[in-house]
Amino acid sequence: MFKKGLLPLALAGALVLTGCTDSNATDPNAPKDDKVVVGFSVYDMQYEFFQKMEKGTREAVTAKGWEFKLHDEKSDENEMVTGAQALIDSGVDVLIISPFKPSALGPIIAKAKAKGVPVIVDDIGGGGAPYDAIVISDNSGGGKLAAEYMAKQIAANGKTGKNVASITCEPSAVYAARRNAGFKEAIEKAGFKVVAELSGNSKAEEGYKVMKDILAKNPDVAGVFACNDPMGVAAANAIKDAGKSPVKDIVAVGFNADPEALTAIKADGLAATVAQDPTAMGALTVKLAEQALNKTAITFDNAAEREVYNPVQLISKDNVDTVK
Amino acid sequence: MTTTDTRTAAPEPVLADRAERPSLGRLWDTWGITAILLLLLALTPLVAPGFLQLENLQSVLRESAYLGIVAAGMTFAIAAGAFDLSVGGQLALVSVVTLLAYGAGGTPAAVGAAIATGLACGLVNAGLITKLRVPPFVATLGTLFVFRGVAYILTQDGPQTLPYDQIGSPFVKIGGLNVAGVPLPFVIMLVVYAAAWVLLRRTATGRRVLAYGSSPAAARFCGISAGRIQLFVFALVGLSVGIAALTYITRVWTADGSAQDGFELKVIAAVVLGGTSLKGGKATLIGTFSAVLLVSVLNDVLVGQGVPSAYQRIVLGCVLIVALTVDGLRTRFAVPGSLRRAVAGLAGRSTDPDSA
Amino acid sequence: MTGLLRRAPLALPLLGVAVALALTTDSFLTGGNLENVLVAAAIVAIPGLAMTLCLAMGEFDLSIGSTVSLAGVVCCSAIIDGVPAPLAMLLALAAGALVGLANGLVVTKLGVTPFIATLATLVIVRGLSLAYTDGHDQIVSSATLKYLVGGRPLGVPMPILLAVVAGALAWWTVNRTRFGRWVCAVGSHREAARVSGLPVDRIRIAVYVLVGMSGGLWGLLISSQLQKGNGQLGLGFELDAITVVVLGGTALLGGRASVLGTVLGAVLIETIRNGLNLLNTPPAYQRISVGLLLVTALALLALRRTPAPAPAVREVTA
Repeated sequence: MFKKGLLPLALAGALVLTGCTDSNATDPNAPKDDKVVVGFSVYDMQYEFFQKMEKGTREAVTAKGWEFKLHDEKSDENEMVTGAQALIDSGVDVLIISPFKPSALGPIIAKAKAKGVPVIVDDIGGGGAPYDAIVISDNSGGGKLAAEYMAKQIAANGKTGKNVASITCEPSAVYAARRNAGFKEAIEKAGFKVVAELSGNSKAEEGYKVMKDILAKNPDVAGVFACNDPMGVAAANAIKDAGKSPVKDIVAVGFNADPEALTAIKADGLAATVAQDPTAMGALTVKLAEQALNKTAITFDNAAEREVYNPVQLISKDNVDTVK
Repeated sequence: MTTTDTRTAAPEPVLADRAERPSLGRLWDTWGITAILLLLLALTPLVAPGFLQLENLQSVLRESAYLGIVAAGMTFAIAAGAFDLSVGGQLALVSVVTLLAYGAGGTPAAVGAAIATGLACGLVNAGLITKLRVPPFVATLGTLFVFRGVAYILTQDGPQTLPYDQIGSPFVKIGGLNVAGVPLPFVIMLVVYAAAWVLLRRTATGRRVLAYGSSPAAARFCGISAGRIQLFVFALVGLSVGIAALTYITRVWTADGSAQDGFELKVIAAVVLGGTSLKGGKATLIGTFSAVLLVSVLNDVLVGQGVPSAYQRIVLGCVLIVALTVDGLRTRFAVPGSLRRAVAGLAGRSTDPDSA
Repeated sequence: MTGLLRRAPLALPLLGVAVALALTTDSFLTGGNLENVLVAAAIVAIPGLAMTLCLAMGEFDLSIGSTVSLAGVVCCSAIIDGVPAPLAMLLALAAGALVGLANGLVVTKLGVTPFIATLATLVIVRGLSLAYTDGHDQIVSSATLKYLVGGRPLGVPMPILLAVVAGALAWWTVNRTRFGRWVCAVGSHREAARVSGLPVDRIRIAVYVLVGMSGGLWGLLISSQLQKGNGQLGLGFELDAITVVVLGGTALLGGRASVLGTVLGAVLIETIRNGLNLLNTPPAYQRISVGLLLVTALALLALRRTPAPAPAVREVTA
């Protein structure tokens, strides 16, 4: 009976059997062997954002004729530490990681240092660990862009209401929280008041419910900013279900430029979103990885934190067609 | 774990009256999942040659420890007919408090804080269940939210983290050290299982837990206090989380309110997969131990072979069902003379009393 | 009033929370907000009612959250592929029923513990949703699907109407039909039920299919709100569904079903959640509050019930 259970496993294993023995045989202390192996530990392949990041990274790696190894953290800090360390054990020459919990980078980088493997962090955050470089979107700046757009759009709609709402990600996402913080600072500077700041735990279902509650308490809100697009589009749906327009009545702005947000913007189902470019970020990490391997100096935007910024951009109906 | 033999399963109250001699079914009860694990271990190197690398084996054992240690405690709770849904919240809270204590008083403070916080969480659960008579399911569901909530409040300014410059501290060594090639967390797990085995099989308390889980009413008539059993098992779960948190936090270095979301289901699944009955009264620590390793090994192979995570889920789920199917079919053989009926039952249920 | 309290002890904490919110906020008692709470409660009550039968049978189904995701994916991808929306919705319900059937067969014919069987289907079904969609959103814009949450036949929001119908059906099933009695019989003593000649396996399969279908409907309601389906929806919903049932007083050990309790449980949970949002509570404190309120409500209920069983225990242990 249990042999049957192992059969699919064995098949699955055999199907994807890679050159595991080869890479194990590689001496990890010699980064300049025939073929450079890049390990990429990704936050969670369930999300389109990270699928794009993986694509950008993988394509840049194969373009250089290097070997690519993927590990999926599946939104779990234990899997992140175990799997990323296993990548290092398996003999990768450089580790690129988009960490589920940046504060858990310590043990991974400790292991990488012991084996002489450079570590490039892609987005999310660095958690104060001694990584070689981090590519990061300007979260706070993105929130500011959203606020500026919202203030302009509310005025264009001819609304005089000065109340707006802000929907946050799950409380542990401290880096994503910078988007809401940047938004709040800029929108208050523009003379608005954030009357509700509630968490939708990054989930679309909860974003919808939270927006319903906001509408019940403050039917006069003129705009809402959500920390990610699933919640932004969900909040826009709640606004539509209340018989209002998420563009003309209550200006709804999301973050990420996920496909669902772009589709919604084209159909007036969302006013705007802030685009990060995960594909370009992935490619940029590979460029930095090469520099780290060759020991050439990296130009940082913020040298103290070894940060390299990838610009963010506001996407509304005016420029949505320019986005792939 | 190799110190046990089949006779050690003898005092199990549920089956003790059915068959004194070791039968195939009884053997399967204790060793079934271990057999599956051994088979998996024998086959794995064929599909994943990298599996046998020393560093990979160490990694599997090291990362199994925290789940395994909590599962040992949970085996007692489930044997007593209850389960603790709050272990994920406990792990998050204990980890956060431990890191805070480490910042304040170094390694001894951290170790003390972990054990004390774990025990305290267990006592809160026990108090709710015995003093306020809240059913264990709801009580621990409620405290799951509460413990996580407290952990969130303690980490409002960001997760608690072990600073990178502490890399040489003895505290970090708990998670990273190898003793003669064996990872220290796994050594701790072995010690915990040895102690748990003695507690379950060689003490009156262990037998009382099983007796109570088997039939709370009958146990009461024998003078076993329900309150004390529940106090004992929930405190024990809390203690196991305290120990587990030490092996967890020294590997991951960080914790906040969301640490190990969904942990409770993983732990309970390991215990049940091992062969401990959710109905209570029957417990096998060897089974729990093997089930924890089984899931870890499977996960390691799937991840190591680069199977996409959507398919990892499907394979893991199928393996769970197949492993338990073997067990489910075994129960049909447990009653003497049931083989014929079981075969008839598999062929088609028309001979069953269902249609009578 | 005392009769109602005896049958539905949750009415008391519910009243308490409602009065507190009416006093501390100026928006709780507005028509729009009450409708908002009731719609949210209706959406979790529908699967809760099916789960009530499952718990009364002494078992529970952990896979329902994944069924929510699968139903949404099936419905939305079918609509995208050009299947008419009503048919796509039926397909989603069928997918839910199929998951239920799989659960029922694995539990009865293969003898796998329900906890593990449904935990395994939880993992597998989510894996299927993710693999089928390749992690992409299935975005639709369907008025027919929207009608499920947006429609107002007779001026009543559709989810509330659906929940009332489901509640009436569940009450009738539990209290007035042979099937309802059978389910409770299986829950209070499965072997006794089997020996008495009840078709135990078929009853169990039927209940799992019902739960699966209710999960399908839940998924449709969520996808109707969000106009999309994907592999991430419904994460952790299994605990939501089980919580409202347990809160409503249906014993986890089986043999009892409180339909009214489940409905009130759903309303209580959603009232608390809504109230915390109206009060602008930070998320860390929201979790603590929900947990504390759950424990308090249950402790109060348990204390009220204590006088009966307690003396018996003391006599024996003395």
